[in-house]
Amino acid sequence: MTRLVLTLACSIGVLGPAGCGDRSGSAAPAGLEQGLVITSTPVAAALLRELVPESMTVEVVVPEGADPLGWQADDAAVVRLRQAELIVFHGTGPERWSRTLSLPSSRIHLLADTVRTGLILSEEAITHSHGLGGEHSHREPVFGTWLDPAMLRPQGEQLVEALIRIEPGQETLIRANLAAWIGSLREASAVVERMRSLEPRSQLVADREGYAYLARALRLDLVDPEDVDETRPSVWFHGGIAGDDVVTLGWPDPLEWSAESRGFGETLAQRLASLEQAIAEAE
Amino acid sequence: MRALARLAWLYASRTPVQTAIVSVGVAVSLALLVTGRVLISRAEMSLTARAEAVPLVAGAPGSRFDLALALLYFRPTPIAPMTMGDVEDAATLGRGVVVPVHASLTAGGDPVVAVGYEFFEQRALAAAEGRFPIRLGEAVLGWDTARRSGLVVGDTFRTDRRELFDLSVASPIVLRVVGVLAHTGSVDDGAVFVDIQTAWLAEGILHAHAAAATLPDDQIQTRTERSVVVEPTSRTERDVSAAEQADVHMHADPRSLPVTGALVFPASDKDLTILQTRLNGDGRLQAVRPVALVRELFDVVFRLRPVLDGVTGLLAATSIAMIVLAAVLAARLRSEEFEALDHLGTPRSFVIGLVVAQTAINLLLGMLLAGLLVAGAAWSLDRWLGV
Repeated sequence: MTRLVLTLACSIGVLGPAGCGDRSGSAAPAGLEQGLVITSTPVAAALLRELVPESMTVEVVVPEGADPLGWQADDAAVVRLRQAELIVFHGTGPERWSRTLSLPSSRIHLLADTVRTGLILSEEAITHSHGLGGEHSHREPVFGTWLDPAMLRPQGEQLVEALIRIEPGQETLIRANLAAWIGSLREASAVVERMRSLEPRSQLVADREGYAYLARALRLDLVDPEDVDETRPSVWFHGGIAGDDVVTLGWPDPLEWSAESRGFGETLAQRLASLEQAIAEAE
Repeated sequence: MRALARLAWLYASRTPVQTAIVSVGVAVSLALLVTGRVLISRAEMSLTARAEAVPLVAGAPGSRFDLALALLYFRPTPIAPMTMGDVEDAATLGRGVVVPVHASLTAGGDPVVAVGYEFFEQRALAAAEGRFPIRLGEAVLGWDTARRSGLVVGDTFRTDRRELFDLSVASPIVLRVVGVLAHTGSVDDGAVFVDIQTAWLAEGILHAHAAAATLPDDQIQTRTERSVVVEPTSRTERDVSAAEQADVHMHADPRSLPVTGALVFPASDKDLTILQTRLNGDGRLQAVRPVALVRELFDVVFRLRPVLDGVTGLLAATSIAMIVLAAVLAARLRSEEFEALDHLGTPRSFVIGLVVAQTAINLLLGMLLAGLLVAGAAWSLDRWLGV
């Protein structure tokens, strides 16, 4: 009855378009938290914190201590992600949990998009075949692009463009942060160049494929602990068996990044310098 | 004056058939006069409001009207799909929000519309109960759909089977109700909304099955260290509960995934113009302004207005003649009664007033009835437009 009365009122023009027409439609999404940038790993957060102005907040959606590769987002985490003005994902393995979630794709920035052609596909996938699709495997890009300074820099440069889109008023400051950050990467790049020129024989040993980009940058083999060639010197990122030509680095997991006291570039340079020293010791 | 009105009313109520015939005649004449204009203005208002809410729609080349109908009103139309690659390319232009829409599924006859999350933001939709979909297989019901179906948050239902005799088409999937949209007074009230990925799940592009490496031997043809061949009879899961979401995968290039089209919400008028030009640029896609389409449609309708006005004028003249004729005939029928009143010394003006009052009663009843007829027609139009 109410509807009929409303229809009658509309039909004789008592109510205006606002009362009778389609009431939905708005250009500005409600519920967005201004200046909020959410990312998935501590390493991406560390990168972001060097680039964003003070007016922006950086959060990591994966709880501290949780492994992003095995974590599953609960409803509250998805709701929080939807409040962000910008969501920064690596675009490789660490956000496996996000693939079937309903997220605002227009606000997601994938760091790996900038270096898509240089991505390494995981060897861990098992080929299988079912249905009409034929034989296939679910090979995914390996994470850890940030361990190669040459791949890291374009990701930072592209990320800055995304930050400027949401904070155009802070462009000068954001670009200044980028310049400082690029400067901080010089030392890490220099270490990589130095190691490449030495043409080491060592093999890098890790049970995670996250070091693949670093190994490629250094022109070294990255091998699984079970496939170690014992005739060659080896540098283990974690664990390792004692021996004259075996050096264990004890690096944190590639996805961990606790660099509160140092800058991103400085931390990376320090890790690479320790690797350089380890290779020298092993050889 | 009161006596006059009372006498006129008594006459009308004592001669119900005569009153009804005259009133219905008046009502039909008036309704015919008004309905055309009301329906046109109402349709224009409704279509324009919906069109204004979405500045630009994009899709594969074809009928512009079919594209707009499919994306704005979720009507099944024979249009070619576009791909997610096209949607991503449009979004990469960075001039607005591009929302993919997949609108070829139904459940219980209602459209199941798969959309990117930004659809809810850009259309400023709110959940009256529950929440928007978060995971695969979750659905939020439009207000009318929820009332009609009786489904509440926590219930499950299946999508309709698309091709009854084609076994290669994926079987229906189970959807779980997680929310009901607040009433919008728009076509959204009669739809079911799911995340865009759920459409690909329904089409069988995304699917879940137990990890190939862990399947029992009776479902495996051959198994090596790095390769497993599963029996072709192995079934994929059609009810993707939260626990199985991690197993969902696809074998297609994500850029090749099909969508009906995209709703585009540019950041400014300048961005709208640039986006439309770019999207129409190479002929692979078409971008259409729904408001321009509605204007075009009604330009054609209004070009017929002189004809409509002529018909309306004729109808008006016929109606007035009919009302006068009815009044004159009624007065003739009551001539003896009027003579008796004259003999009783009743002033002539009273008799004339009586005729006028009775005509006014017939006109009032006719207008009331005409109003109901017009409202009914407008209501039917709203139903047809899905408003």
